[in-house]
Formats: sequence, C-alpha cells, structure tokens
Amino acid sequence: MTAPRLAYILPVIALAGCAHLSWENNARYVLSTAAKAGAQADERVHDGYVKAAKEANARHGIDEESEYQAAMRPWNDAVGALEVYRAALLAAQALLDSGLDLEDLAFESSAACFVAALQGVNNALLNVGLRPPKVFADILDISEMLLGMCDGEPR
Amino acid sequence: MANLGRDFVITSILRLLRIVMGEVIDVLEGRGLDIKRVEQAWPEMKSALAKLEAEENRKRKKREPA
Repeated sequence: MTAPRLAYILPVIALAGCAHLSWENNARYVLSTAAKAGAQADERVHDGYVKAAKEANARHGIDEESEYQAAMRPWNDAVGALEVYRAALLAAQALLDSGLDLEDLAFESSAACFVAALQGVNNALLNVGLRPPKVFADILDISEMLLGMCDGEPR
Repeated sequence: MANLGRDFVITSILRLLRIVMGEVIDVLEGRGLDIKRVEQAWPEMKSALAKLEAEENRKRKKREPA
C-alpha cells in the first residue's frame, strides 16, 4: 500500500463527524492528534533503539555483523513502520492543503489499509517490547473486522 | 450492504476517537482547538536518527584498529 492511499482515511473519518464544525478543521485535528501519538511512539523507539544498539554492539564484534543485524532487525522494523506512518500523515495533510474533493476517494479499501498499516506499527512496537500509544490499540480493537480486507500490502 | 459497513466503520471509529481523544469533546464544546501541523506535532523522526547514529558507530568501530 502506498502512503498516499493510507492517508485518505484520516480526512474521511474527520469528514464523517462533527458536522457543525468544518470538516477541514476536524480532519486537521485528527491528523494533529495522530501525529502526536506517532511522536510519542517515536520517542519510545528512539530510547529503546539507542539502548539495544549499545548492547548489540558490545555483544557482537566487527566479525559478527550478521548477528548484530539480526539483533537489531526488530528495531529497524519499528523504525520503518514509523516512517511509513509519518509519511501517511504528511500525505494526508498535503491532500487537505490541496483542497481535494474527498467524496471521490475509495473509502472501504483505504480504511482497511489504514487499519492494516496501523497494526503493522502496533506489532512492530510490541515486538521490541514497547507499549504502543493507547490511541493505536483502541482503534485496532474496534476495527479488527477490517483486517485482511486491504487489497494492497501494507508496509 | 457495503455502504452499511462503511457507515458502521465510520461511526465506530469516530465514536472511539471521541472517547479516546477526550480533547475532541472540548472542541465540540468550543473550549479550544489544539491543531498543529504534522511537522509541528512530530517535527523529526528521532528513531531514524538513532538508527543512523548506531550505524555510524558500527562503521567507526570497524575502522578502528583492534
């Protein structure tokens, strides 16, 4: 799944509710909140990564590169998942800035892909023993039915 | 049917967002709207910087004489 496709969901969610407020304000609020949660997760991964790299470096000498890389793989996955998530937020914001007509967007597929990608971030954090932001877990709790409905491959 | 599913998903996610993000209630009540651009709310990828730094450290270690 491309980051722009993932990005469609956030403004659409915002558009659906709070009708007495402008949909654009709602969309921007959702993006802002989602970005704050992402920053929180990023901070946790940063601290964990520094510690894990230090330990792996001490444990595996320069002739044990593959062992070092294996030890760091879950952390690298977490960094990658966060990068995709942040790119999606920026893409969604760019859509808002462009004034695109959101009614033309394919909601169902985007919703499924959003949930799948969010689960990817969530799993990556859990794999390295970190607690994901509560916002992530709660959205996944009610959106579980959408998993597997994404026609692309979330990265 | 697809529309029903879509509406359910939208409603559910929105309801959840309203519950989880308590600040949304504040917005609805007109008590404030803390909107930041993504770049402000999440100015840099700290974890990616940590990864770069770790890779540099590893390379430096390889270059150092044993």
